[in-house]
Amino acid sequence: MNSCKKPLAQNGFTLIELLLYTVIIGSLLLGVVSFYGLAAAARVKNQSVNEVNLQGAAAIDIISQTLRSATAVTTPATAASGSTLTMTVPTASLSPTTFTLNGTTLQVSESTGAAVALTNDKVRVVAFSAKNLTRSGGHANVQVSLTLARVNAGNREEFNYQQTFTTSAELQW
Amino acid sequence: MLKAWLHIKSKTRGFSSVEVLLASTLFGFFATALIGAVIYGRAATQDSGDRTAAIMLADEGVQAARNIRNGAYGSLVNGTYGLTQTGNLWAFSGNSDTIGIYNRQITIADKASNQKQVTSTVNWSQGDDTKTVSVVSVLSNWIATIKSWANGILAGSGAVSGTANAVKVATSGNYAFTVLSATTSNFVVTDMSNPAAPSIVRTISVTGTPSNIAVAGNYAYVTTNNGSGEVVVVNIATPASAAVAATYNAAGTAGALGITISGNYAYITRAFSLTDNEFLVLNVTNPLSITQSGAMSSLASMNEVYVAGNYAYVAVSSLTAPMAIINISTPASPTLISSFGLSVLANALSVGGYGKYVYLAASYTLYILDITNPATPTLVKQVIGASTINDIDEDGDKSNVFLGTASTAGEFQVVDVSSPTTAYAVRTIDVPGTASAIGGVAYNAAFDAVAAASASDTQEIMVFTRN
Repeated sequence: MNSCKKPLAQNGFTLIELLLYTVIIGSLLLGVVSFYGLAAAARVKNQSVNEVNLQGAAAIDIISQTLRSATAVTTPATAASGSTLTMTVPTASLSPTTFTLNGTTLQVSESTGAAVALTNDKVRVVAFSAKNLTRSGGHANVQVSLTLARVNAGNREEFNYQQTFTTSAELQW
Repeated sequence: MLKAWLHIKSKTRGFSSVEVLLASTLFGFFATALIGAVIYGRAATQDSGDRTAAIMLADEGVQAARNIRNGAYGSLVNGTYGLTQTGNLWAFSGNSDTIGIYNRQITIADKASNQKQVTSTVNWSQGDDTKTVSVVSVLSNWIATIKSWANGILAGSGAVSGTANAVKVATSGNYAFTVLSATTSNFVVTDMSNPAAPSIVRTISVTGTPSNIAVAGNYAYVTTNNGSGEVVVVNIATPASAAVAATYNAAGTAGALGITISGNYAYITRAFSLTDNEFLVLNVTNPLSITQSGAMSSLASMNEVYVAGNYAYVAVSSLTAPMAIINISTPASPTLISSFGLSVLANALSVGGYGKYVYLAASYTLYILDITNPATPTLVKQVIGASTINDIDEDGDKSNVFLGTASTAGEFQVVDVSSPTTAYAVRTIDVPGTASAIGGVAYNAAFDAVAAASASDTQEIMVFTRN
């Protein structure tokens, strides 16, 4: 027994060593946790960007496809611009087709049917405008601009994303 | 054991500087990798968002160009532009336009006749990188009037000094090679790249009086009536400095009348002679040293020859058998396999063909013959020309046959053979003057135009085009 006591007493951790180890482990843990937080924030940001981009691209695609196959643009009038786009389309049961801004949601309505939302509640439409650039001779071209932002009630950085999509479509009727 | 380990440990307590270095380096690597992943991940996300918007802007560029085209095709002038809206209309302006972080350029270039290629390029910078997306589209002048041989015109002409009649013509690239019925200044090179103003770039003399011409590669082969040099080879590698390169003397003294080049062989037809061969197969592998491969005799003058596969179809001055069909599968021994007669008595002056049809010009009539069975052609249709048909040529898959006639009121004719059974003369052109009979015609695929050789003294060289 005696022979064991002596070496043990000489080989324990000093207070300084304990403090040092605690600080090292603490800072490592802090690093790992903050990195995890960073990664989580990046993931959320990614989702926000994708949400805005995919919905923007889909909405613009639908609008330009409808425009290209439309026979005439009734609203806005030639040389005017507005947040409601109405056009006459070849299929009578779908005509007129209207894209309009309702609050912060982009909606489409076909003929007398109920309006259907093109954007969901995760994004809000900051701005929507259509400009009628019809040329004399009836060559109609409409420039459409749509600004979408991720809904961000808590004003958090990872939800902060806004993008403007602008394109034009020539009526090919 | 434990005691011993602790003992040693206590002796070597602390880290060496190498260990510290190693540990911090490793930590540095991991930290860099992890932080890099986060930074690049963010950049990629940002890029994908910007790219979506950029593609839409590029697409807008093409749509705007389409709108401008719809206003007036003439507004699409080759160059690089930006877009603007002038008076609420799309217009080109400057050489690029800026939308937020994006810079857009529209480049317009020729694609084909009545077609422009529009490239809409959007650039933006992200950090030190410049990102680019491009959208390419082809816009046509769909409203353009399609030119037709039905309204064909004499687009331009060139005069050769003197009164010699131009007899035959061949084309290659920008040039037409015309031979005249004269003993000097009888080979003329014309640049027909501007069909409205063909310009003579070279005139040389070949020995004898030329009767026909064929072009292959860098050489033109002129047949003449010279009994001691029936074929003259002219080097036309540089058309403006064409020069006689060689002369071939066939056995006998009968003048040569027609020539066709196919592969390594030239097929020559000659005037009737009791002693000489009228049909020759010459090896032209080396144009400067032509050798005879085979020959065949006939009982009448052979005027022109057309080759399809293993058979040669020869227009003959024979009232009863105006077309001879010769098997040429063995160049050393061309063999007559049949003589084709028509329902009327007529000499044939010219022959051509495309695909499974042979076009034979005999007297006033163009005969369209089906040669599905080469030895026994069947008559598909006959089209009456304005007068004796001196020469014919065809434009292949565009389905027209061009006639040069002896008429004074319809020297040039176009026959539409797109439907051989209902072929008809779609256009007859009366060229100025009454002594302007056309002796030779040659189609030029480069300009979709026809060069003609005329007896006129003021416009020996003519160029006909669609209109």
